[in-house]
Amino acid sequence: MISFRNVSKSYGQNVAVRDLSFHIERGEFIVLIGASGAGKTTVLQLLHHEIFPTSGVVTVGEYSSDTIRTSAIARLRRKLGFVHQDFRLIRDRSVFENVAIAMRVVGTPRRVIGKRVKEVLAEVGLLRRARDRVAELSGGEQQRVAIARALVNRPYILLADEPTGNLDPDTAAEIYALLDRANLGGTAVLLATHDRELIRRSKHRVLKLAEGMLVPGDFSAGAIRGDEGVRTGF
Amino acid sequence: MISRLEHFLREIACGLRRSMGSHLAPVVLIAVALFIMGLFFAATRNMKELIHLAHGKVGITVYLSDGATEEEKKALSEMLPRLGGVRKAAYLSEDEALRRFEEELGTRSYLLEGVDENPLPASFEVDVYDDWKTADRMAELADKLRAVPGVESVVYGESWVGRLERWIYFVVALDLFLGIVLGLSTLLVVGNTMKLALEGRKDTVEVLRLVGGSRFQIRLPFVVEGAIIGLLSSTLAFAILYRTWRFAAARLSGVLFLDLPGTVLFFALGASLGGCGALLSINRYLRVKRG
Ligand SMILES: Nc1ncnc2c1ncn2[C@@H]1O[C@H](COP(=O)(O)OP(=O)(O)OP(=O)(O)O)[C@@H](O)[C@H]1O
Ligand SMILES: [Mg+2]
Repeated sequence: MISFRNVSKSYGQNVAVRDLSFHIERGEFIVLIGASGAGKTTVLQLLHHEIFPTSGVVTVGEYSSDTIRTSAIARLRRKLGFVHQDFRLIRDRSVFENVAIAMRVVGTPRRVIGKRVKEVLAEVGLLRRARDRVAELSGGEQQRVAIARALVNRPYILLADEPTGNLDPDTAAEIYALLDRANLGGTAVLLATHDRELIRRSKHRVLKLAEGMLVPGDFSAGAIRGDEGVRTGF
Repeated sequence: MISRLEHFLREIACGLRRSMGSHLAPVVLIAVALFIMGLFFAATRNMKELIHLAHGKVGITVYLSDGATEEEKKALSEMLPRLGGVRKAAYLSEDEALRRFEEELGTRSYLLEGVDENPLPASFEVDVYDDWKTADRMAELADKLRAVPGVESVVYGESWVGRLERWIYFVVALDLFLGIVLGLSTLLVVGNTMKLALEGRKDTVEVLRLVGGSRFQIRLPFVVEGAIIGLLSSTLAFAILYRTWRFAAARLSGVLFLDLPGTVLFFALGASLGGCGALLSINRYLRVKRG
């Protein structure tokens, strides 16, 4: 469903991602780890077609970075959910509005929007706050709004870039549980993080980046605990 | 479709609500720029009117020789209206010329006492279209008329026309130059002002990009918002302009205000400057990013 084929991205001399190749299957949950500056955000931005590879091809469903037209980028993004560390919400609008905007852009009929938005707000436990302005919400609540917005159009894949970076451990665990739940519902998830605790408890496939390259080996929690040994390849 | 329309209306309403509050500054700032633009419009109109008045005084007088026959007069009166550039030609007989001269002399008409024979020749007073009132064309027309049998002399104030022409060229060029300078600086002011307005809406623009808003969906609300701000600004500027004109007209008779097309143009200018400024600033903001 999603593939990186020999993807490199450089900014002048600075190489952010180097000859990266991997696949993500439908419904998979992948944790992307690596030190600061390893290229995690760059990978997510490439997927979202905010930036384009210097060489190689990024494919998401029917869209490919080498052939996609500018007008199709918006359509592609409607099938992706993106959650940022800094939430990216419209602070002076209501929770409902912030989620509904993603459906309005697609042209969903009003009645469907009303129903579906309430549904996802219930899933993230914010139905009662629907009318409140986002600015009045706590960080964890704001991140849940962002997740609801990312999920509302039932995306191919949920991209999350350190979504718990600004949150305390308990709240982070809640957010993580939400991502897990979305994944159980069938949405693929690509989570970039350096939250060690989170990685330790995760049972998902882990990709590790270092200086823009994939580090060969298995970094999933089980493997690191040593009960399965280190496997190479994927 | 309905829902998409709703998206636009909602975005525009949200933007305006903010504009009303913290972005009163753009409206005032753009209004000042438009006010100066409006002064310029009004000045241009008054200048055009002056040129028109000056042109009105430009005409050709064709004096007939004393021996001109009736046939020659008739031929001339038929030929004149068909001559390129001539709007109309009026015949002035010797007697009429004398009567008019007496009228012009008024109380000093005693000067004519003792003149028993009318010394004034008959003439045609030729009215020329404005765009023919240039030194070259007038000279050409005069030469043509001098060659006609029965014509004694042709008078049209050569030096006058030349000077008027140079003056008009100068004024029109100055007007054009000022118009361009003013237009560009107004666009600059509007562009920068809308950039400030965009600043307050960046979060919305970013969110729209994030959730896959099309180029159109991202830009249109902002452009409409800009146009509305521009329209509000032109209303404010127009009101001040009107007061200014009333003030001036009370002291200086004959000063004209914007005419109807000018007024419509003024409001259209405000709206389109606002819209263009918004489009420019959002395009500059989004240019770095594709999509
Ligand atoms: N717009 C840019 N211009 C220049 N260099 C950039 C740009 N974006 C990223 N880079 C560089 O690319 C490299 C990878 O950056 P990236 O943001 O992907 O790292 P990251 O793994 O997300 O780090 P962090 O964990 O700190 O968020 C870094 O060296 C960074 O300086
Ligand atoms: Mg990052």
